[in-house]
Amino acid sequence: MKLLSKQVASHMKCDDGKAYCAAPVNIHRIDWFWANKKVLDSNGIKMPKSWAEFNAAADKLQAKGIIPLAHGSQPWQDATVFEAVALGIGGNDFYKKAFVDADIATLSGSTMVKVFDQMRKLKGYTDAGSPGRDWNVATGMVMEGKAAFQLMGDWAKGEFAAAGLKPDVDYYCAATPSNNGYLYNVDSFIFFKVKGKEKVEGQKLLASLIMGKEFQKVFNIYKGSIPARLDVSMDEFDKCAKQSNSDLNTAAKKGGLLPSFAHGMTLELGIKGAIQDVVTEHFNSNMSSQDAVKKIAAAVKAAS
Amino acid sequence: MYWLKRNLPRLVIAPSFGVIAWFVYGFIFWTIYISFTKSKLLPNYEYWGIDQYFRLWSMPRWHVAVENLFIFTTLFIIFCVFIGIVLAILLDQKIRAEGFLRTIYLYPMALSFIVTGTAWRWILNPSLGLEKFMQDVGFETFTFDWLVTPGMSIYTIVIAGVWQSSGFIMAIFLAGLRSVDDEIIKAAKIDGAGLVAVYSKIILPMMRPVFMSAIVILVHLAIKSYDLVIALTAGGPGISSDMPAVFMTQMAFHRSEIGLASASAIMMFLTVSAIVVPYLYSELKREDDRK
Repeated sequence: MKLLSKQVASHMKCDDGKAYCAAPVNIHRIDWFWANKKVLDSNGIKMPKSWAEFNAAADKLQAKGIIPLAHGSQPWQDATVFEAVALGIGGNDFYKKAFVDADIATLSGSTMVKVFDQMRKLKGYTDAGSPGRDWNVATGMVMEGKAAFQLMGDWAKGEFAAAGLKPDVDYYCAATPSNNGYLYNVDSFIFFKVKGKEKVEGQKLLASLIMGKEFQKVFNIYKGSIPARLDVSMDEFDKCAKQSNSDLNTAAKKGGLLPSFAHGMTLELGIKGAIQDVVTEHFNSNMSSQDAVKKIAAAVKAAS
Repeated sequence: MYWLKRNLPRLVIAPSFGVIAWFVYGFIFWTIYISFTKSKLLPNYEYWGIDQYFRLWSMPRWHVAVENLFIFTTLFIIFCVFIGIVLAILLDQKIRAEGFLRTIYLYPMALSFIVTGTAWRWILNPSLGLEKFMQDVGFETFTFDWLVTPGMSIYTIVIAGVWQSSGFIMAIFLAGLRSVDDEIIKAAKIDGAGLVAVYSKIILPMMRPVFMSAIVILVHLAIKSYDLVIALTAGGPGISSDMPAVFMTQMAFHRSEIGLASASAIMMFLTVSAIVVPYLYSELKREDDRK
């Protein structure tokens, strides 16, 4: 029986895809919006279906003195927001060309300029204390109602769950606006080649435990992610996890199931770092979108 | 037996000498060689020439890091030495509770840079610390947001670094001041010199060796500063407070660019050498001349 989807399995193999050398524990979705229900309801705001809708909602909240976007401006968090915006504004093919193929024309094209324009808008929706803030502190701002939204992977749900909060009762979860896109990050255990029968047996035992149904269920209920194994029942999971699971299947069919670049699922680390540097520099200065795409092109060329 | 007796000190020192020769000097040469290769995730020993240095100097982020290093080192040394001297002179006036005050000023040194950085990150955060406090007590227009302002964030690292290290410099100078012979001061006073003149014309010039120790310690603290930057700003906002040591670890351990990281390490090594070696040479030479 098939336990893993083709996409997940492809990340777990070595020797040009001939043999497995890692066991996946979960599938995280990156492109999530988390929002405080009370804040949204009392201001008549629904979870946004497009980035324009988000901007309108954010403007409205800001006018009322609520921080629209809880964000910690650390390089990886800036990149996390950036890839979700790129997926939403550029679309699935654009994302693939830019962040899987590292195509320089796409990375420095006019669509990318629009992505940076939206990043500049989002910067305006954050508060002054944002630079350097840890992601879970930002999640706390949403829980307390100081801020309305946070864009973060579904490990943020672990924070909500640990605080005893429930989806649709205390908070909302929804995918960030995109055309059936789904950015994933798979955590896994890598197995090195070892000598000795006992050690190999030990590795096999660990791998079979990691892939066990019970482990995949319990671990992911607490972590916020969904099981990597396909035949684990989703009954005990919450609404957000169920949505993640069904969105994943839809995205896989429509070509929107894409690896997260901000979390190192695609691109050489040097190129990833080069893009991340420009994204975070742009977000934390008044660099123009045109300059940002020029810098990306130069940095990616230098890194590859 | 006689041979053993004569050579015992050498035998005792030999192991640590060997360990230092290999792990310090050996790895300096290893790093130099790696900086001339194409090494990515793992070392690759094929010679590649000086291309890594061209790559390094073409990276805008490296330029930011180098510029910050010069800003930080200069201000850090000037303020630490200045505050250290002033505190030491004030403490040297045979005041009451000197031991207690000395401990207070020296205490930040007992903290690691990580603790210092974290504490100052909270103090300087505009929505948690000083700025919010001042606004809450009524100064509503008070702003102090250097920590989150690109271009100013490097100065917050200077503030935290000076807070941490100036007490230590004070201790060094205080020890130096105590070793000055009282007779000299008395003689100067008889000749009618005021307190300022005694210190600026007589005592401080006598403390050249103390300046040397202080500056050598501060220079190497500044150039290897990594933990303070990581705890305080993590190089941010953006990459605006990046420093060479942070750059190097990023490249070596997060970006699989060991060759590039080695090149940056060698640039740091050369910088330290370029400042410290001539300084040590001139100071030590002066001492030799005196003999």
